[in-house]
Amino acid sequence: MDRTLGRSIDWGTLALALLLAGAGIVTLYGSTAGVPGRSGLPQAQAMWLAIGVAAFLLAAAVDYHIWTDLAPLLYGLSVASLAAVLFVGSRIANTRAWFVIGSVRFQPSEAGKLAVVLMLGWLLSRRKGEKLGLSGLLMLGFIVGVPVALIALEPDMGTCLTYVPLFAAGVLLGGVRLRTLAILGLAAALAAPIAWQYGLKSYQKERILTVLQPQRDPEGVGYQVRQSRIAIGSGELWGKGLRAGTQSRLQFLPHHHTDFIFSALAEQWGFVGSASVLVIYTALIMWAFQTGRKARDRLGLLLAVLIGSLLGFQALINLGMALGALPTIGVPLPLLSYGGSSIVATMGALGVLASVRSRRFVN
Amino acid sequence: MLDYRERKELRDYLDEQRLNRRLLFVRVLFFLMFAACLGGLYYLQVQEGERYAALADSNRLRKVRIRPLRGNIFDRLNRPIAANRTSLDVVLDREKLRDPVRISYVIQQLAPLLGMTEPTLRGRFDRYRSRPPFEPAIIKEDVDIGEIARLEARRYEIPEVLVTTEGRRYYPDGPALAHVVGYVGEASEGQLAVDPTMEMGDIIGKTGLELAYDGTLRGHPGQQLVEVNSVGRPLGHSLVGQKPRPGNDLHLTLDIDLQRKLFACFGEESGAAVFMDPRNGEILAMASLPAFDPNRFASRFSPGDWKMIGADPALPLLNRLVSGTFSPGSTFKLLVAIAALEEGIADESTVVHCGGGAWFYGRRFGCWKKGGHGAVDLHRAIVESCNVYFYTIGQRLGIERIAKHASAMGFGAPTGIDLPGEKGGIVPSPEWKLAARGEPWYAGETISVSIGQGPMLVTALQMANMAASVANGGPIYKPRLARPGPGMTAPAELLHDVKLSVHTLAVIRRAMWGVVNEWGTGTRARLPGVEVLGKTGTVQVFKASAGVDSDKLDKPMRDHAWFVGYAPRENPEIAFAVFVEHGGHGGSISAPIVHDVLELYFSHDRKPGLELTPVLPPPQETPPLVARGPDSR
Repeated sequence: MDRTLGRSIDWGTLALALLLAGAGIVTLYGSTAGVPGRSGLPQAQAMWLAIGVAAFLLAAAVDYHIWTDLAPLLYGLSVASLAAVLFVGSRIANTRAWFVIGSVRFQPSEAGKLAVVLMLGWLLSRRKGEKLGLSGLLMLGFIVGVPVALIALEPDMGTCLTYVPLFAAGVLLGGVRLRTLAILGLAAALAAPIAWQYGLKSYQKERILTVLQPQRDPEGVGYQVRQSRIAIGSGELWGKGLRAGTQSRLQFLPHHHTDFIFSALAEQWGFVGSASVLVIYTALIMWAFQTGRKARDRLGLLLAVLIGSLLGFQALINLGMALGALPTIGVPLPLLSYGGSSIVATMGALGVLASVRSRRFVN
Repeated sequence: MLDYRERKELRDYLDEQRLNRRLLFVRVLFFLMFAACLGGLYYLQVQEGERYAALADSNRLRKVRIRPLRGNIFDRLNRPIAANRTSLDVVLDREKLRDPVRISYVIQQLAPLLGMTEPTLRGRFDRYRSRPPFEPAIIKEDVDIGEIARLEARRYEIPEVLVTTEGRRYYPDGPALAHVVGYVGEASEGQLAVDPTMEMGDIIGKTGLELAYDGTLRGHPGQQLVEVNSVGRPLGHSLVGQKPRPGNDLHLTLDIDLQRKLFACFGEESGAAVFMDPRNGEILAMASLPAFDPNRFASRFSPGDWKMIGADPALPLLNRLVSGTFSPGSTFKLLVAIAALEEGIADESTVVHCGGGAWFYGRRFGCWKKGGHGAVDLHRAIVESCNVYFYTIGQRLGIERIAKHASAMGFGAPTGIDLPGEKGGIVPSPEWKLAARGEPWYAGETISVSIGQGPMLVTALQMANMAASVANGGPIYKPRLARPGPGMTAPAELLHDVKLSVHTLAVIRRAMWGVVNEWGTGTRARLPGVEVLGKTGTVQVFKASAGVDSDKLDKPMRDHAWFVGYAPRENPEIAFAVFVEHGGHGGSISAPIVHDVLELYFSHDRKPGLELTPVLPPPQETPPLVARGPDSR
């Protein structure tokens, strides 16, 4: 690696990402070490993180314009793999979301997010200055909608939801008039009751109602939310310490290594730890938006804001769920939750962000 | 007018402006939402942290009850009567056994090994359906070594089968003490509702001494805080707790040697018997037959077992010692004689002619000796148990005076022995009859009562008390089974201060001596070297038995046999009452039982053992009834 390449990589983004991923691995260790049937998770996660770092470096080293030029190809591959997984994927927990090759599992819907980000960048950067009309809006909806529809068939509603900010950010940054936005909002408001009636399964409705009324069903759906709040709250100011989180180690807290890892972290490290991680997370997202503001061109801005929105939105959904403010939706916390596909895809996305950042205007 | 290029630049400028505005909006939106999350964390962890910490503790900590060890029961020489032992239970590991096909296979394999039917096994396994999976299913309690060996041989085929140990009550002498010691069992739902300190599965005394001294024996459960996981499985390390306090031991007045002898003497017969120390009311041996094995109640009792034992016409669960009331028969002649002597109705020189029967109130009352006793005095009347003599003096006494002396002797009222379910029996009188049956008293009934027939009902304990009264020269002490501690005797508790004149005592004692040692009905209780005193009694069961030898009748029609008395003549040590259901003549079946038990009691190699028990001087304060066990401090 020559010096130019070394300088062209934005080490700040990587440092923030590694801080968060490290906190995730330590939390994993703290809540699974010595618990029967849960061994090896931190090691596996560290291995995936190493692959993620490689993906980051690859993505950061290459100019983001090249990635965007490759977008239609990557997007096509992604859609093809999402279609293929419906047929050849393994059914795990009633969802066909995984390719399983030996002991390695790969979730195409995670990599798909990055493909959609690049594809949107490709689309919107070519429409500079023009208002995004109805056809553009339809195009935008199509690009996001195809993978979302395929993921909905798996079915994996949580992952579908994480694609929503890509559409929203695309609409917002693509130059849609405020009036159009207002009409879209109104349509969404009208569609919501219909979706509630016909679109959601009864367990999904139950989850939403549980948020509005936490004591509704303490043993059922409300149980997870309640145990998560207990885990976070019982960490108090200083936390219970490494390997001392009773809620996660004794398995009162469900999915404490994946969707509820932040609750496990908050239990072990208290407000001091959880607030620190939250601040670092906020910094990373703000860092992404800052990158967009300083990007050299419109494409850089679009990519940075799309990536920031993608990660920020997913993080907020996850945190809102852990805190009991949002319905229980299976969304991992990027960088912290256990899961190889998620961390590799996230690191790749951050690599693209770093690529934008290292090629920004330097004043 | 702007040209095209200028217009485009302006448009680009405005576009960029708008883009930056919208980016700012996105940034502020995200920042605020992250800030809200921080606020949420602060609220949960700092503001409400303590509350959630308590909730987390109540999640993970469970109070586990530790059952106390039940106190042991010892006889008067510290030999165990009830103890705790370890039993082996066969259990199935339900965590390993989940596949329905496998379950069926395992049940099919186990049924012949354990000697159980497949539906029974299946039923016991399915009872745990709603229990957490780590809780093993107990499928057979208290298996023997043979069954374990058969299981072990198949171990590698059925690894889901485990053997666990459990504490269980054990009665080394089994049926011999069944009705005295009683048995234990799991607290019923009704008992759980009444006593909030008890929990499901607690073992409590159900009958006998186990019930009477349950509070002493039971002990206090301890509790432990155990860390459990989300399915309630305890995780080994237990935290602070409270140790269980084992129950106190109970020391009895019983002598297990005499008890075994007494039980063995009864053989196949039914009935009740009491041997007690007349000087203080301490029970030395007491038996009720038929009996059951209380050890069978310590394990799970199948409904079939209950049905079998409950439907037995011999009523093995009936405690004839305290709940059985019987007609006293001729033994009651002692009481009539005492009443007559005390009231001056008769003395030793009073002679009545017995012609094998006599007419009273227009009805003939027969004597058991068809040919008659001729001229009989009081001594001979008791020794030979002449009915006509007692008809005569009973008529002279009248029912009121008979009832008065019977009540004074303790008949008609429970003795207050420390066993549950004691009955008082019946002392018939005109008042009693009017109240109980709404009929007037017939004069002829007095004649029947005079020889212990009619509505009079007594318990074996009351009869033993009457013998003790004669032995003691009057006073009756409350019979009891518990001692204050090993080798300790509590002061005797006066139950009935019966006043008997020296003259009465002399006449009665001489007659009772005669029953055994002259030509009387109780000669089979005669013991070389020891002067035994007694009185036989025969209770008619089959009315038409006049002239028929009851001993030759079919068993259910045979008479009941009594033998009451005490020994030795000077300084009496042991009083007794033996009742054999359908035993025939008192002298032919009950007296030999007394002979055998007394022979053991007075035998030389036993005597020293009994003398080990010192009689304590009466202390200022009543000592606690039961001393603390060796495990408690």
